[in-house]
Amino acid sequence: MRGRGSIIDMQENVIDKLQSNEIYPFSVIFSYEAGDNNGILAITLYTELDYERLLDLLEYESQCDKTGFVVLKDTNTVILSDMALINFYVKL
Amino acid sequence: MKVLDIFEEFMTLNYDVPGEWGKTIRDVSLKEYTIARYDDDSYTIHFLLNGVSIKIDWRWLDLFSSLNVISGSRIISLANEGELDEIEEFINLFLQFQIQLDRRNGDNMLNLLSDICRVKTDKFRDFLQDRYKKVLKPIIFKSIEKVVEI
Repeated sequence: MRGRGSIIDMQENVIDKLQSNEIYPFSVIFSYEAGDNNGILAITLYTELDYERLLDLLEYESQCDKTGFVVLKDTNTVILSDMALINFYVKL
Repeated sequence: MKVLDIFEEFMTLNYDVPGEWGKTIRDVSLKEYTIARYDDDSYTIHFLLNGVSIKIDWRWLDLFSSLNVISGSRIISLANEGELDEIEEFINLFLQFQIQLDRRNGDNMLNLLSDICRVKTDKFRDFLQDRYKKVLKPIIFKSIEKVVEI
């Protein structure tokens, strides 16, 4: 089981990546199940502008396979898992 | 015997809160996009769909987990039988929440938590402080628009 360091590090790493792209999130939560090396990442942004900016960085619209993306415009939230999460680490 | 009598009996056991928790982070999935996280000082429920979080200080869980072990079944039995006053209702409500928490039951646990947020914790916290000189922090609800003490 991953402990405090791993989850905190992951979240801080995500925040750093977002901030280096001048996106300042309201909430970044990373979680995973035992035995799953990938996990799930949920990012909630303060503004619609940041939400759209993040999707642009992830090239969301041009993804043929949007499996692993859950995008919620009403709450400015993007939830990533599986290949979408890997895509995040590659793109940002 | 009343629920309050059982609670008072439990509090005579010199219940005390340890100073250091030293727990690592551990996540528990509740429903598909809700997780609960144990960390050093709190139990927090994160609603991944919109970033909302509800944070519960560890002292709540320690108090009601111990209460459940020692007196839980008697309180539930009494609560099912008769009328409860406001404090007793709250004790029963949070006890039920703690039981669901221990079972990691997502649906009913979240329903109980919403009931707790509706009735709020201030009267019980005042009672605990006045009667037993024990301080519990309020539950914290946090969203983009607001931070609310419950």
